[in-house]
Amino acid sequence: MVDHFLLLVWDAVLIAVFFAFLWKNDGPARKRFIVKALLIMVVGAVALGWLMYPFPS
Amino acid sequence: MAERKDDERAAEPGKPVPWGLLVLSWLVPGLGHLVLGKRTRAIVFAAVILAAFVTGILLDGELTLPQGGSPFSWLKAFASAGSGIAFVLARLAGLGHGDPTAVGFAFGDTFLYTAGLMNWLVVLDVSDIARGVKE
Repeated sequence: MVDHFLLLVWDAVLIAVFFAFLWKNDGPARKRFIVKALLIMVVGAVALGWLMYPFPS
Repeated sequence: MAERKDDERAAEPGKPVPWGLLVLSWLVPGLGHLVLGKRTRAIVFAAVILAAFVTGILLDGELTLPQGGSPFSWLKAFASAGSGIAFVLARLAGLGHGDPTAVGFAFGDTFLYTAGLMNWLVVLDVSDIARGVKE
């Protein structure tokens, strides 16, 4: 329960599914949205973390 | 397909705000959509919000209450309280006091705020559907 990356992915999954059902009405559009939102959130967070890595804490 | 039929039934523009339904929707995530005949969305919203809430509690997150002299705590309380009956029951059960020394504390807070804020959006969605603004 304390693996930060898994928690990040789990939060992203919940948020992606939530907004897919809030904003999209049909199945295929929801699936596309979930994949896109997941990729943006997970890859974006990892990329941002990587970019911040050289900075002192 | 079934969702599309439900949408047609609910869309009648010009209806007043159904305050009782909004309160129900806040108290029990997904109940507002269920009442409006949006069964799929009701189940998904309930499952997602409950999953986020339980994860937050398991990670020792804090269900924040407003504190005098701390304006930011009011925002956190607003986000936490969005979870409705789960917020009340967890507080009554002595859960959600938060443990800043726990490894997942900050993540727990995030999940709890996420759950609450998602439910506030669900309440707004119920309002839009009931008034015929959205299908």
